[in-house]
Amino acid sequence: MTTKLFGTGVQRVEDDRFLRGKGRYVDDVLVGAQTLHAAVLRSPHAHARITDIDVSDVLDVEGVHLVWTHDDLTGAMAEPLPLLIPHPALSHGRTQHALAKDEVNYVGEAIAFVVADDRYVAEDAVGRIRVSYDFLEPVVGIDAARAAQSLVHDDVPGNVGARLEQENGDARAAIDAAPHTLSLDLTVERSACTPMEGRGTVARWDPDVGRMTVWTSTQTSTGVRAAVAAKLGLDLAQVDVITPDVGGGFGVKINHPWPEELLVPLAARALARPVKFTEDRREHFISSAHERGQVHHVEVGFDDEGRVLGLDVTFWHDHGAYTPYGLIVPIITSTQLLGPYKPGSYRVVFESLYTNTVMVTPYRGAGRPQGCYVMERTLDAIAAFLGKDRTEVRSHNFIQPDEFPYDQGLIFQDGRELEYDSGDYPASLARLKELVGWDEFPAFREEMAAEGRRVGIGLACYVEGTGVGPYEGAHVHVETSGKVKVATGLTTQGQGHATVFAQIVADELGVRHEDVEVVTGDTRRMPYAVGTFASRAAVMSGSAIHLAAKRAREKALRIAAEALEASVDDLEISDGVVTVRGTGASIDLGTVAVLSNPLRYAFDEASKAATQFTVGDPGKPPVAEDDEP
Amino acid sequence: MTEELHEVRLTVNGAVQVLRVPARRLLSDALRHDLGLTGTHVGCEHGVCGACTVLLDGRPVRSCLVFAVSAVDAEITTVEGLTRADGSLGPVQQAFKECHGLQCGFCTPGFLTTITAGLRDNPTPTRDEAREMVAGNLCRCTGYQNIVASVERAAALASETPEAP
Repeated sequence: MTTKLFGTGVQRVEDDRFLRGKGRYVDDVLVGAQTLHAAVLRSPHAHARITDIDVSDVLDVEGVHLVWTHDDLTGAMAEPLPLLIPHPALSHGRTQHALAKDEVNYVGEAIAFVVADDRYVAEDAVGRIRVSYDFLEPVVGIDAARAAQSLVHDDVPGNVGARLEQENGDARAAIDAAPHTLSLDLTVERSACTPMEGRGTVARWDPDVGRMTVWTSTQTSTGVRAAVAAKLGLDLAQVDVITPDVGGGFGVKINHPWPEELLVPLAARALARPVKFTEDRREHFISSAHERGQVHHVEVGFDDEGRVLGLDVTFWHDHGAYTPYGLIVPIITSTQLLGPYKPGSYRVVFESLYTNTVMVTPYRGAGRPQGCYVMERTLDAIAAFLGKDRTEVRSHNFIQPDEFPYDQGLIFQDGRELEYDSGDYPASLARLKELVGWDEFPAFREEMAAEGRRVGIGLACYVEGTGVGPYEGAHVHVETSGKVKVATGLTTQGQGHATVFAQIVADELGVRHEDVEVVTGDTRRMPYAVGTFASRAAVMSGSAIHLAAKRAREKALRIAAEALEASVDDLEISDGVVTVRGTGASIDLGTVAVLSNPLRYAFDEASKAATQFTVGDPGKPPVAEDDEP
Repeated sequence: MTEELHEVRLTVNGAVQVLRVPARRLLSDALRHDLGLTGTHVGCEHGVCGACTVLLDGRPVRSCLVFAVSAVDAEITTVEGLTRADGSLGPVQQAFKECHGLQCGFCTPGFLTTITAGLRDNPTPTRDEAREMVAGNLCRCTGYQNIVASVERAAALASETPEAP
């Protein structure tokens, strides 16, 4: 009997490869002299008009194959990059061009693109490009953006890209009527994902079959594929995007397409040579997205127990120079701010502001840490004001276990109601207090104080909206060897998908863990997917893989029952062999795979074995009309 | 303008390799792009992250801060050279596998080479010494707890099989 794997700790199947230096990250693809290397001239200025770009010296550099500025781009490539997630409140959404057109709006914005024999020569060439600028006043920080004494984009008044307000109840009235009120001003600084491996893209154009292969270090292969096809004027079917091993993402690689993800394939087609771009660390710091920067003003009204009667939050979100990823971050802040709590009424309004800094897209938590910080600081302030234990104040504000499902009365980032399905927050808090020794801490603090040490304790509660849709898919295929090939479209950047998804399939299909191979993020194997973010891979792809494996099992059992002249109910699958309980009659899954396929040439042992079984009605087509091989 | 090329003989994982590279070619790039030993990863290109660490005559160095032409007389060991003669994982590699000392795997080669050298200097590190041993390497995924555990486990494995690492 195959041991149940789901929920069991197993060693990762990825690790042997990684530990031997046999991982295959994007810069490891197409290593060799045939591949050309790209470098990008990036703006050293936060805000300037470009008056002239002189590339006349560049092509004189030996080994330089191509230099492009915006003037060299045509059609869709000359248009701004996509605004991936529009929103009605994003009244003034702006995105950059693949190469800057007339104006730069942050230090790091791509201006020119060079392809050369190697990266060294490409950087030499970049150094010979001369750009003339008219400097503009840079807008840096939320205060400057709000003051709007200068504008990031001339046609965006007040630097305001979006304003969004949501309210559940009448927060102002509740605060006015509350026994106690407090107000807080809270600031969250910017930070960045900074994966160990930066961004990178390799592309190869095959003119013989009219096909583009792109390897890119992304969190969404399918998204990049669609963008490359649209921008390069290719059919979707002409573009394959493969996400190789990825050295960390943390959010920054869900934004796409980055300029290089389009320019590299464009250059590969133009030059009929493979082209590679590997972002260096300096480039990552200045030209890959940041997150977090927000300023909040909180007004809260509460009763003697610390119960929040009205909560009114206004915040300003610094989204940088452009808004490629829409309003996802501030919407998550504004909705998930409530965490496990149920204020009597809640109003939140935010403005999403332009600054002359690199753009903001989701990073680990995607706006949630800011909201959590604000709510927890508010509850701590209430506890301090009332002289109450911080856990007691939180307990008074928890949604209770009998109140689920609980509708927060807001619209979440996915456009759906913010409804919590289940939870037992009082029990979680009780467990937490026990684990950390919350009630014993005051005594411990005194003990430490006697030794001259000052110790403190803090707590924070949050609810995280994860596993977001809308979908993922899966393909489970049993080879005639009995090996099982699984594909799902979302990508992997260290989560161990090849291990855990194989556990799901091994259990469901009754095969050995080592006989299951999982491929992620390869549009040749699964062209329909969303991507890896918001802790959604196990929920979305894990579920899809489970359902696909169930269907594969049902089909295998149906065919095996016919072949073995037994009832499906009497069959079991273990270690890849279907057996009739009691009789010992059996058939390998590989042979079953042959029997499900009408091409019955005896091309291997499994197909030879299959010839001894009869499946289906010889008077009908070997594959039924409502079935597939 | 043609770059002058220099003939360089590098001894990498016991094998002599001859290549012609410009003087400015980094050892990390020579290993990865000229020799195809892509196990050595480049994370920062300025000596901070430690991902590109290789052993030069047994000593850990940042291969992004060494020119290939200056490594001619050294014995270079990369992550590809850490397996045992029979092809099985070396003790540090095995320890990382057992202790889940890696996630995305990008920083891992630099940790493996650093710890291999560290355990030669100090075969029985305390937990604090194990932490100190990896203090010059950055990992973004794990939070380091399992890496420190891996150092301790590697020390135990190495002492069980004294011919390694």
